[in-house]
Amino acid sequence: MYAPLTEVKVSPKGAERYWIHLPRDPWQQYAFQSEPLFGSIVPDQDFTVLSRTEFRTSLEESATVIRRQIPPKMKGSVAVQNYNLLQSGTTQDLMEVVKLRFENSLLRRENENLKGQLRARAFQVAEQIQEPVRRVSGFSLPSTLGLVAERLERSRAMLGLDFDWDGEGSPGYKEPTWQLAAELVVKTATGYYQSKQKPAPAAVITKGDEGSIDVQWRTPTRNILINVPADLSDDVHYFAHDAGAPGHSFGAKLNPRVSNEWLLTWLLA
Amino acid sequence: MALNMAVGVTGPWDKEDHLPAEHFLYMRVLKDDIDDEGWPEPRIFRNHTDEHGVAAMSTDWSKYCNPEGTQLRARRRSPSDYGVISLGVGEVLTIPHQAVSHAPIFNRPENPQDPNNRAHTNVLGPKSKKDPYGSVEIRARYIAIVRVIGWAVKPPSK
Repeated sequence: MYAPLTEVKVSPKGAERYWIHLPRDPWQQYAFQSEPLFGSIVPDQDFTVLSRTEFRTSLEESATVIRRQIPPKMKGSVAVQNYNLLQSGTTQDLMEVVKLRFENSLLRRENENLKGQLRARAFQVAEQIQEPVRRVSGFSLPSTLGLVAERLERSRAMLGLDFDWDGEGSPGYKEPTWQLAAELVVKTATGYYQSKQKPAPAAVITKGDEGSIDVQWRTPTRNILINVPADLSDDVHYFAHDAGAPGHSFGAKLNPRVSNEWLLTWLLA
Repeated sequence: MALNMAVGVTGPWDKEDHLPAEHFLYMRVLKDDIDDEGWPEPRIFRNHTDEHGVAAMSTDWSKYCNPEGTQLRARRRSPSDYGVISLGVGEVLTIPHQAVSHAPIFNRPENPQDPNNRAHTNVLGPKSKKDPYGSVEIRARYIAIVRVIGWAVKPPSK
């Protein structure tokens, strides 16, 4: 029987090459089944699989040597039709694809197709990893969401405001509050980007009342306002307003630590 | 009255009970409270407690004032540091728990920190979290009104 994969790990190796760790041979065809395998991912080149021994060798020898040692049946380039087989996702998705195929015992019949999908996915993962990122105070965003990163960075100015900054006795803004607001924005924006394959609109992050922070996303007719309280033990609330149909506006509590891309889906519907 | 006329004072003024729905309420917005896209931050919709203990948001009624007059009434900062938004009375009253109350200010002698103002109108009701029943919804609905009407006096750039 085919043992399911227990781990797929993608890690950078050098500037362009990435390795996925395959504890089992997903195809049960490899000559070195007793050894963990490593998949070598280089965009626009072949996806290749190496045994642990070969992998170690590859770290010491030239690329030419690596290629010579790879059994031909485990090599292949990515066909265009396979490249688009899977939507965006993570290495976890890649693992799930393989696991599902194993559990359904479809591996033998769809062996070629699976290999194509896995290769395509591996390339896609490599592309995502290689996309330049913008970093803001510990958060990373794809460069496509550069405006989101810029606004987050700019919003940190509020952290310099101390008690009574407005002459009305308002408290200042605290780092943990900003971190939670930023987590909400980053997870929601990247979640939307990954699921829709298009950039999320940039959030507006502003000073809220009583040390809280407001986050807004909006279109000309719709507006989502989320309030992150200064006291992190308090709930985060949102309200989604539709000027075109005010009766259909809605609001509730929100978990800020997960992607809430469904809100952006509603906003842009 | 003769004394009032002699010094150019026309008050005190009676409080008026009815503000027509089609009238407007003008409110100053400091340039520091404007967001990246040029709209007021939601936090500007909050109550201030006056010396009588009344918690309300101060505005000027369009019957006795225009947006420029509201801008010029700024005291803590230069009027040029402010923009002015207008809120439709009828729209404000659609927001949960909100009420509008004409509250003309008249002191003799005039208090420079709180100048006489026949247009002064309080918008009562909870707004922010510190108020009982204050909510995100209330501030979101205020923002929605502003975004429909736009600025009555554009604010200066930051």
